Amino acid sequence: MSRNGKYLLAFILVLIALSPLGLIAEGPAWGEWSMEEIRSMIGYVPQSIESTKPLIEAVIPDYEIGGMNPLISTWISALIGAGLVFAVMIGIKKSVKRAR
Amino acid sequence: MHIPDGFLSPSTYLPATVAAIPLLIVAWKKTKEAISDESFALLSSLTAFSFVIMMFNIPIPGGTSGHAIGAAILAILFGPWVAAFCVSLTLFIQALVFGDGGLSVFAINSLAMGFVASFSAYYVHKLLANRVNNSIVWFIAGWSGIVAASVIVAVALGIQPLLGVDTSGHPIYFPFGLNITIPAIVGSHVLFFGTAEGIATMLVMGFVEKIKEKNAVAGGAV
Repeated sequence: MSRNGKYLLAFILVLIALSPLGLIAEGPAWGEWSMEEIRSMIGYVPQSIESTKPLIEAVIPDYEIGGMNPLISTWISALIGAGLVFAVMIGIKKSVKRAR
Repeated sequence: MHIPDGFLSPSTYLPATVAAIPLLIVAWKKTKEAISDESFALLSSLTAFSFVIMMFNIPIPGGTSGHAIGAAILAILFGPWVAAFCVSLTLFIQALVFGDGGLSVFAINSLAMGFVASFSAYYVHKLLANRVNNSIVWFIAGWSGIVAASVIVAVALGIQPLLGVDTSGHPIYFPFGLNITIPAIVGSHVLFFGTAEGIATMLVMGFVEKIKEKNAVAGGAV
């Protein structure tokens, strides 16, 4: 790996290590409320919000792995997410090389 | 700004999907052109940065939170199409694996945080580059990109009460109108998350320029 590649990877790894800082924020993003939060706000849950199921059930919903310490599940989520990004980008690079 | 499943009417997300598909195809082609042995480390790291920085939720007054996107950095360095693709890839992984943003409304999230943020940041940067101090340009480009994206999200959510009510008169989709979504979403991005994206853009661009310089001296590629 090039020296720059190492700097960049170190930078991403430091950020992943710090990612649990995001847990400090207790509230969700404005609008991205759960059904309970919406009910407590307006007294009902709009039909579509209540009945729409995700097309594919998320493996790690909300970056939380069931029963695991939130700190550790945040680290694992960040590693998985960043790892998937690199995996897809490597895949694209390989497919381009093959085509060339 | 990750809109969940069920929050939008199909009359919103279906046309958005039809519009997003050709745009994503162009963005994908431009990304394939941009990816090389030289660009790979930087391009993939900045895409991973976009994923990770979105986990840094910043609490703001009013009990909500938000985060930077990292779109402007990609847009300034690789152009708006490549940035839109890379941020959309991040959004897709977030929706698929982590349930952050709905898959059914992926197109809206991709148009807002992927395309609108990247293109706005890119053109603002182009307009201001070499006229003002670099750091200030980077900050403004980041701020503008995320604020522009927040307008799309605020409008998409805010029109939902007009698009369907049930027999008791309750909205079927997102229940708050534009009079609430615009100040809440755009306002919080103007003040807080725009600042976060601006600072992130400024710091990361500074870091990237520094390693590029070092490299130019050493005679290698990034």
